[in-house]
Amino acid sequence: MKFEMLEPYHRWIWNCQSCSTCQKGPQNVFSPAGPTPDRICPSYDKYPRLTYSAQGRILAARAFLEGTLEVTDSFVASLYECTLCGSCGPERMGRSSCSVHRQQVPIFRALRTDLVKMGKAPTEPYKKVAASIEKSANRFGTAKAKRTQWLPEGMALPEKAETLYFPGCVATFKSPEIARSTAKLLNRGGVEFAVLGEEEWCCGNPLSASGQQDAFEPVVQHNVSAIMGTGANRVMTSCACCYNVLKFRYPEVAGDLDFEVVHTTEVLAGLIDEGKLKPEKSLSRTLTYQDPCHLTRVNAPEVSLFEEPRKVIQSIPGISFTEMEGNGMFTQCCGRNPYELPELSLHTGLNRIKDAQAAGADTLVTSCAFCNWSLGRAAKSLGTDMQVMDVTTLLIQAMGL
Amino acid sequence: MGKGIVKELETIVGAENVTDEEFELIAYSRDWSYDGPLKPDIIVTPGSTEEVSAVMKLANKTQTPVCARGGGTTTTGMALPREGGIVLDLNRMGRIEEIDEDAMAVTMQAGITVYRMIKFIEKRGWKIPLKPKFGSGVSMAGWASFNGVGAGGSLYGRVTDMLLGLEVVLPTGEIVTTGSASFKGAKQFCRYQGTGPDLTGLFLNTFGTMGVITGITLRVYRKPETEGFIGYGFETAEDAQEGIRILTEANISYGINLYDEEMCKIAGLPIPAPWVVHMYAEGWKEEVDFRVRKGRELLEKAGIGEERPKAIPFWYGVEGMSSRLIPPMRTACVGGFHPLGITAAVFHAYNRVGEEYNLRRGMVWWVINNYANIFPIYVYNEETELDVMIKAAHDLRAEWSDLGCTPDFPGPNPDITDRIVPEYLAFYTKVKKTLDPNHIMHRGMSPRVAY
Ligand SMILES: Cc1cc2nc3c(=O)[nH]c(=O)nc-3n(C[C@H](O)[C@H](O)[C@H](O)COP(=O)(O)OP(=O)(O)OC[C@H]3O[C@@H](n4cnc5c(N)ncnc54)[C@H](O)[C@@H]3O)c2cc1C
Ligand code: SF4
Ligand code: SF4
Repeated sequence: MKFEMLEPYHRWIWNCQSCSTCQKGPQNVFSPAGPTPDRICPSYDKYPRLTYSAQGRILAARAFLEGTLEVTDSFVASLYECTLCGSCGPERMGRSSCSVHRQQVPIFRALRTDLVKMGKAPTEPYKKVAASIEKSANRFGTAKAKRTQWLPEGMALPEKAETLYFPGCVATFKSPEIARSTAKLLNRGGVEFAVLGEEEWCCGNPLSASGQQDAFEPVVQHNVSAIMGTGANRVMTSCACCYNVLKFRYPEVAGDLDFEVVHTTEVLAGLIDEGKLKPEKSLSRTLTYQDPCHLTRVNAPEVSLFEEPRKVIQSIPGISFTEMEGNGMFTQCCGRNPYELPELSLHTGLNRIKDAQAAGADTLVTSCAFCNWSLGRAAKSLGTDMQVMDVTTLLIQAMGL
Repeated sequence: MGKGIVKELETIVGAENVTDEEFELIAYSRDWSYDGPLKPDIIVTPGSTEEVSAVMKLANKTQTPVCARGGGTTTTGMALPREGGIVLDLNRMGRIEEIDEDAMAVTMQAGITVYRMIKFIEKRGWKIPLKPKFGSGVSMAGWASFNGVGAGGSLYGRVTDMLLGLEVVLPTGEIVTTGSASFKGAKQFCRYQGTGPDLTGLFLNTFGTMGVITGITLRVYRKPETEGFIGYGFETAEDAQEGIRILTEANISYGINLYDEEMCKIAGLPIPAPWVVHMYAEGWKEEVDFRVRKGRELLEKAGIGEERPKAIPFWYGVEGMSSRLIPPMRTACVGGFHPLGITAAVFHAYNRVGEEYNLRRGMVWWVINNYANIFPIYVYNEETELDVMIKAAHDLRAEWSDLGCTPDFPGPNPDITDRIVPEYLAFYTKVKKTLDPNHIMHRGMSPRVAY
């Protein structure tokens, strides 16, 4: 059995010192900055055995490379019970206490890719999502023709523009209010933009994350050439996962991109700064904000979008803003995959709703369509009054649009 | 190991809390040390003391070895099962049961992490005196079993000095509470009372060889108004030794550390001097000012060392050991204890062994009451220098024993047993055999006992 993708991580894998720092917190209890959250790994929090932590997964990876472990279905299932949230590998206090140096998520992706190549993975839900993408170019298997159904009535878009809006599958089909609000805000801010319409394929994140590299590559090629066709020099996403995959995974397949990848909150914060968007309607809410892992920690230190979403939220009159325990680099995963990992996602989402409640918030704002989905599902299942919403739908309310 | 025992364990703790799958066993086959991989046959994650008790009764009946595990961070392989059997992972037992402000005591399930407990009590204005620096998974039970330390030890001692009592499951399955709560009607407020010897101590510093700790009551302290710090640089090990002796004798600080410049390099910190001594003070503001002033005065008067205002108050820990190394370089820690008067000699022995084996190295001391706990680090390449490192560790232990050091946590190292005075070993053997008649608890650990 060959672990070709895993092998280059050999040295990082051997460097895991079983130090226990990637299972649960807090850390830094004596630091002036205060302790970090009690939870670190969502997977370990749900299934409290080492196997379900980065430490356990890395030891399994080591055993594969050493040839002392056979791949079993139950191992594969456990490997995929991980949201790739990266919480096991952030730099802490400016120095990493982990000798794997943030290589955990790349290691897990590499291992998944090898397992897929061997025909041992992915798990069923990931296969189904892949089949939907192959059939309909979106994760829900919805007809391609419905790709632009979210467009606000009467809004005509140019075929070519400098900015291309890439709403992604979730904001298109599951929470179209996010895509619609985004479009209205761009319009109001005077940003001309195009969309790919039926030519927008799923960003490929479910394929890349699950190691289905052979299925991922054509998706990348298609989307890159479709984007190039619009002449856009900037692609804007609603979803942190689309953002992460377009920005960091696409170049691995397609080489340097001729366009910049930005997130909605960057553009909106810029428009607010320039005075082109003026939220004037007062909203009397106590808000907290969920930093999506894939806008912050997973991309760090290259790119971490902490400030932009907060700038957007805090521009709204009347609101009171409170931080949850665990934000910025220490953000806690939303659960991410309600379809692929229904139980883990719910467990993790519920924890986050409880964090928002503990912070005294009545509204939990996020800036990722996936977080919105996962947290919304958790709030519903808890039967709480906590309102979960995307930053764009919040801003729309404050703009009276 | 038969499937029968797995089934029985599942009945006790629920099927989701038992596994004998190979990939799960592998996850438990290493700890921070260079030992391993050493796999258990079964992993059990109990959720209550009653479940632990039922597991122990079954293990005792079937003579199955049991190794309790918390964070698995011991530096010398003590969290690893030597002869297979059950690894009992206590991490699900992580509740704070009570904070009794009147008795200044906090009672908790033994699997709680040290840092969670600290965070919990600090929010309420309390603290424990020690500031350890380990991975966030370290459990209270593991810390107590290891008789752990932390900055703060020069005044308060070790964690076991703050323990008021334990709840323990004996190897034969009985549940026992030690401390004042062993007296009918009394709460857990003091460790020693008029009912006989301190049986709490049977389970401390014993690495799960005497029973499974399931509950802990710890004394807590009000957070001080303020803290103070001074750092002094010294040119030689001998001067540094004199520096820590002076500060220890003066009894003005709650923490004294010493480290050499190589350690600063390994930890990626600025190097204030070849030898650096840190002194920490705490208390009311006036008191802290006095303590810091006095520390300065005494060192100045002795004419050794120079204040290093830029020294950073840090106590070396998990970051230092893990962060700055280029893979697959790793660190091994061969700890020990010694009287302060042989500090320089201990260092020279360590340096000599390191030189002989050509290992990069750095060393830290924490003063505990009136003696030193040493954390000497050897850096080695796991793929090419493991054998060298093991030989160096062996030689170092031997040299230190000759100097009059005691080992820190020897784990499975058999030469440690050979050095124990025979009468003490015979006494220990009697106690061990009485408590653990079938020798199920953490087999292979020293002191080794012939059954
Ligand atoms: C980088 C690094 C830094 C460190 N810094 C410090 C420090 O600052 N201070 C310090 O004191 N130590 C330090 N240590 C050592 C280590 O963290 C301690 O030994 C820690 O207390 C072990 O706790 P654990 O929960 O990881 O125990 P484990 O490693 O899981 O177990 C330790 C021993 O206790 C036994 N045990 C575990 N649970 C139970 C139980 N419930 N009942 C009975 N026996 C049990 C185990 O069988 C084992 O023999 C450090 C280690 C590392 C790797
Ligand atoms: S992955 Fe990092 S944090 Fe986790 S056990 Fe290994 S070294 Fe420690
Ligand atoms: S990526 Fe997230 S879920 Fe996966 S092991 Fe790391 S912390 Fe756990």
